[in-house]
Amino acid sequence: MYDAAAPPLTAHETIWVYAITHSGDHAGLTGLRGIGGGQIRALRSGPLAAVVESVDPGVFSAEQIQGRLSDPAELEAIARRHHDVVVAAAALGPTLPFRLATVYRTDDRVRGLLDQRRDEFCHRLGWLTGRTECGIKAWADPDVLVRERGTAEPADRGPGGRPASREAPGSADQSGAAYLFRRRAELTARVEGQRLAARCGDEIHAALGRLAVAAHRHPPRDSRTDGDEGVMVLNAAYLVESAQLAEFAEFAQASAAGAGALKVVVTGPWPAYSFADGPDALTCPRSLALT
Amino acid sequence: MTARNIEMDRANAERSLVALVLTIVELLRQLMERQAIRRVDQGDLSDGQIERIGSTLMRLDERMSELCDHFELTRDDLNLDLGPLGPLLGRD
Amino acid sequence: MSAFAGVDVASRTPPTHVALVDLLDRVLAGGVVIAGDVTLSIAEVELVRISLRALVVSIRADMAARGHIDEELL
Repeated sequence: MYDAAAPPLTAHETIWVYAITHSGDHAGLTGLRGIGGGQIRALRSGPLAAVVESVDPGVFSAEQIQGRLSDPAELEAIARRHHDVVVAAAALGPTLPFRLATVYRTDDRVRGLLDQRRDEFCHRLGWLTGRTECGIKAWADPDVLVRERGTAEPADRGPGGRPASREAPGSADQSGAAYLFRRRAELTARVEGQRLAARCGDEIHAALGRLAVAAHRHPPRDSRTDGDEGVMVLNAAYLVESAQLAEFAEFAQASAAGAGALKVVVTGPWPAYSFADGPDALTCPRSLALT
Repeated sequence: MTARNIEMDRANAERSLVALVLTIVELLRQLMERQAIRRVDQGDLSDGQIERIGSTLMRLDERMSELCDHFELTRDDLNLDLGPLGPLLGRD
Repeated sequence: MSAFAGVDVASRTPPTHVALVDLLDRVLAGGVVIAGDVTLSIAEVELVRISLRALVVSIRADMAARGHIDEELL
């Protein structure tokens, strides 16, 4: 689907947009290559600049972009290179990162974007100034939480970690009723474990949210590749004052421990991808501006 | 593709199919178990019924373990990842 | 509690290894969304789903190849 106002397909270029920054010195981007191997440049209009790259439309048509992004290896390569450019821009000043695969037909169209939405973009850049995104992930063991903070009887575990009801015969009462009651206890404990895990995540998020400028919580990633640290209870991004980043990371570790988490991973600093919608995006469910 | 590779692929395909079938059976077993527990909680089962249902479920569970052993699958193998919805059979 | 793990934010060393899943959470689901001249918004939803599924498949295959997990039914 193409925008009716866009130039026809005979245009020679496709412009890949990485981010928006203040118009200013972008010398730091000289020599940097983008997702298509082309030169990164800054397209200026008024107080703003778009960090862009001209790519070959024969290689980056809509169908081709879609195809490439569906291939895991290509997706990774493109995502990493896109990110590298955004990081380079962010090193030079406040930066509004763009989502992957925003393309325009001509430089003028990009300038038009900067002009049309000038006030909005300036407002967002102002809000991001001096601030950085930081990612927090936390894991907790539901069984441990039930033992330490729960009211249910913790599920009896046999030596293999399997529920006791499934251990070798002779290790427990083998009547049918006993089996059923054991299973009920196990399921109750499991449900409570899930509830406590969710509460653990909520507690950490609330504590960190009080400190951060803004917060954006992803649904926790459920994955069996998480290993021994239990279930992921929090996967969130926080916008913090750059000068307080280290302090925030320490506070995250302490909060998580206090809430019963077993493992915390802090990622970052990130360009503000999760807060690119700005402080007024309260209607957008993605982000929550807390100040 | 050597003949040996073709054989191994066939064996893998069979094993995958078996895993799928057993996953479905396991899903049903777990659903029945939960239903029974709910009935116990509601208090509308006699002691005799509880004992009989419990025994049946226990034997079903043992049978599942035997089937898994026979096909060299673990209970953890019997799980389908539904992506954002998490694993089909939850964690146990 | 196990040791704090992650990028050393205190000294601001550049991230030498950004985990792909964390990166994709941001470049695919974050960032400014503009229609641009080529609207991928409908495709965008497909894109994310296809990409994440492809990613899950590739991670699984990779881990299976390394013997970390048994071959699984997808």
